[in-house]
Amino acid sequence: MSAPGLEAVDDLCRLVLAARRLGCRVRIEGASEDVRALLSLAGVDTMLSPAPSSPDQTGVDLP
Amino acid sequence: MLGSGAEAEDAVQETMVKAWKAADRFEGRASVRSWLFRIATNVCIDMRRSPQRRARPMDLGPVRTPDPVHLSDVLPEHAWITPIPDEDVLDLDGDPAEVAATRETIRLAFVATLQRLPARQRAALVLCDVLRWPATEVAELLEATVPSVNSALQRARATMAETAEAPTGPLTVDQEQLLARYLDAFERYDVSALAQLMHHDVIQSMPPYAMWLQGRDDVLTWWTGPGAECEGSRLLTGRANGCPAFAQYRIDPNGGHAPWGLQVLELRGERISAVHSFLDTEAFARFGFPLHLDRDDPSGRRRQSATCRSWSPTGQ
Repeated sequence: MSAPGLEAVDDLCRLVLAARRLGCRVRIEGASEDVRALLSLAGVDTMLSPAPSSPDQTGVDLP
Repeated sequence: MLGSGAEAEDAVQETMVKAWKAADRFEGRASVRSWLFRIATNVCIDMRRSPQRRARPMDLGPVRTPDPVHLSDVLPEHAWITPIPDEDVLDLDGDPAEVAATRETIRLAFVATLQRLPARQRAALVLCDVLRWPATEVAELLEATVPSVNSALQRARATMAETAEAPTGPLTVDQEQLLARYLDAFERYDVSALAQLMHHDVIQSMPPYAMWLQGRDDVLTWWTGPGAECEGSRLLTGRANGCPAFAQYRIDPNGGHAPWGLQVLELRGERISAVHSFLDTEAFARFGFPLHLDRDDPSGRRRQSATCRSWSPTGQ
């Protein structure tokens, strides 16, 4: 992902939604500060930041 | 976690495909929305070194008296909003109505307000109004009810609407003349002429200093006092954050003029309502302003890079 804009927010949020519907969870790790700042600006950072892991949840970590 | 890396990769690919398909169904990325795409990217770039909330001096502390003692109070670099060249976020050749709408959104106050909204309201605003998600999907994403999403959206809209200041269409002829008079009076450092161009409640800020002033008398006290070192300055015109701006160069003891600050002016009617002087000479390169003006260079004004247009959105 280069030069993150709100398109990235859109895509990531859709990814989260799609994953949830499949019973998966999306967790973003190693995101650049740009991406994190952008997600924070859009108010959706908490949905995508690492959450405390729960053994019964299926998670997918994005590099 | 999935059992193996390969499974995880497949799952990721599948969800990505679904997400992209969903994105395709989603109506074309209309230009109306492009503004926040761009501003977000720019705010984001701006915040790179420290993704903390940024604000204007007026959001961070009380108004001060025009006393240089306050200059000891410097805001940390990450705390204040830095100016953005209009050209980075506006398609100046685009639809004039859209340019006007976009210009509103990159005003310093707008950016500061956006960042101050609670996260949930920000998410509702960005997802519903910018990305045009249906409220049902926003609610699903935020794990909230549709009424609560709508409520957050209404509150966010109301807060943002309060921020909207004067209409931000193209500058009127009178405003263009006002700016020309400002430039002339500033270069002559005719403080009484400058006074006549300002509202009585004019605001002056000088990031990174925390100090900000309000009221024509206090501003003029500053300009005739510590600010008098600006005498002999030269100004080049540009646009920043949807507002007319001037690159200010002070006399360089070694000859010519050296960058000093970027003045972003807010106008209300035919008077100046705020002068924000960003003492950020690094911004000059970002805006494409010359990094030095040679002595008595009559072409200095014409040597602005193509990215620095006149105040007029059409570049006229």
